[in-house]
Amino acid sequence: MSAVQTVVVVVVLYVLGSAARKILGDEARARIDDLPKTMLRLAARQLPADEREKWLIDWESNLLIPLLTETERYPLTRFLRSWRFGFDLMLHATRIRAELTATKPPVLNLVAWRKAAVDTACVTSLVWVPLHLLSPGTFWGIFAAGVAGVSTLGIEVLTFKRSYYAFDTTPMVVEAGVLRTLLGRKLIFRLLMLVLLPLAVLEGIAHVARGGSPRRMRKHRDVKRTRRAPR
Amino acid sequence: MSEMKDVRVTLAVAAILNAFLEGMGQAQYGYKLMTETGFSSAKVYQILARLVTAGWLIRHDDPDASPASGGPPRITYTLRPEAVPRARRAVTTARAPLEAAPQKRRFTLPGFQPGVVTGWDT
Repeated sequence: MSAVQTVVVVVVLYVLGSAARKILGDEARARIDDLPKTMLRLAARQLPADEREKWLIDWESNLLIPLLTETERYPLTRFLRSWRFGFDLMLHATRIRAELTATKPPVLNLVAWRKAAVDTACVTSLVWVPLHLLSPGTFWGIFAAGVAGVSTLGIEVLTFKRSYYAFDTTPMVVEAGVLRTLLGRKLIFRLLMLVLLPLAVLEGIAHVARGGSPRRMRKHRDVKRTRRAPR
Repeated sequence: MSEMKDVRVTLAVAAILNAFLEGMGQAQYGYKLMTETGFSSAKVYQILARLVTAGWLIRHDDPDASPASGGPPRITYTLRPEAVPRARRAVTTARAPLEAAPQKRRFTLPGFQPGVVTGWDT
């Protein structure tokens, strides 16, 4: 390839790259601006069917203020304000539903407390899992699920605490429920209870069936580690 | 005219009612109330839903209005004239404990500071 051809190729690549970067930037910006609208639609879906449209119109027309007028020159501010507007409504739309349907969520939600008790029992049950018998995959799976479950439980408790200091205390159970769903705590505990714990039990049974015992297994592992250790 | 119902007035509801009373005659809308009170969007709309359901607020829909042209958004709210005395009473009642012992409160409400004369008392 001659020098002229190389220069032409470089120039063409540069122009194409610039155009692609601009197109991708515009695409990303449009999608970022569209996401709060999606959040608003998700929030509206939590309202009674006959109320959805008019509240969605209200929210979308208010969303235009941070999107268009206030922060036209400041993309980061626009992004933060519009996302906060949409995300907060999406997270707490059940409060608005409770107001519209005039059915206040009970402060003492027995179902929620029962679920919390079951979750706590799940976490406690981890203590009895013979972790040293497990394969690394199962061990780290249980570890990650346990940490994630306890963390989400902690965040939920913090939410309760925050709601306590807020002015309306009644929707706190609903708020915690939505947060729990968003964080996927239910999914985490199902994974733990239905997949990882049975797997752990099966691995333990298989180990014992092979003639091993937890004590011997530990001793065997320690011996192997000592052999591997550098002198 | 639909009947007005009683509303559970928390401090947050009182702050929103205060904003309506201060801006009497002006169209109020969600984003404006958010910036005036410092509340989140969900809290503002929760209270608006409560007040609309109880018949304290009138909801106006102007399809031609758009913030893009510098005006208010399409949906605006005004306080129903019959609700004004109730709103004033509610705000005064909510403000009384704050004025009695403001130093003991662990929080303050933006736009609803204790002891501030807001002009609509007269």
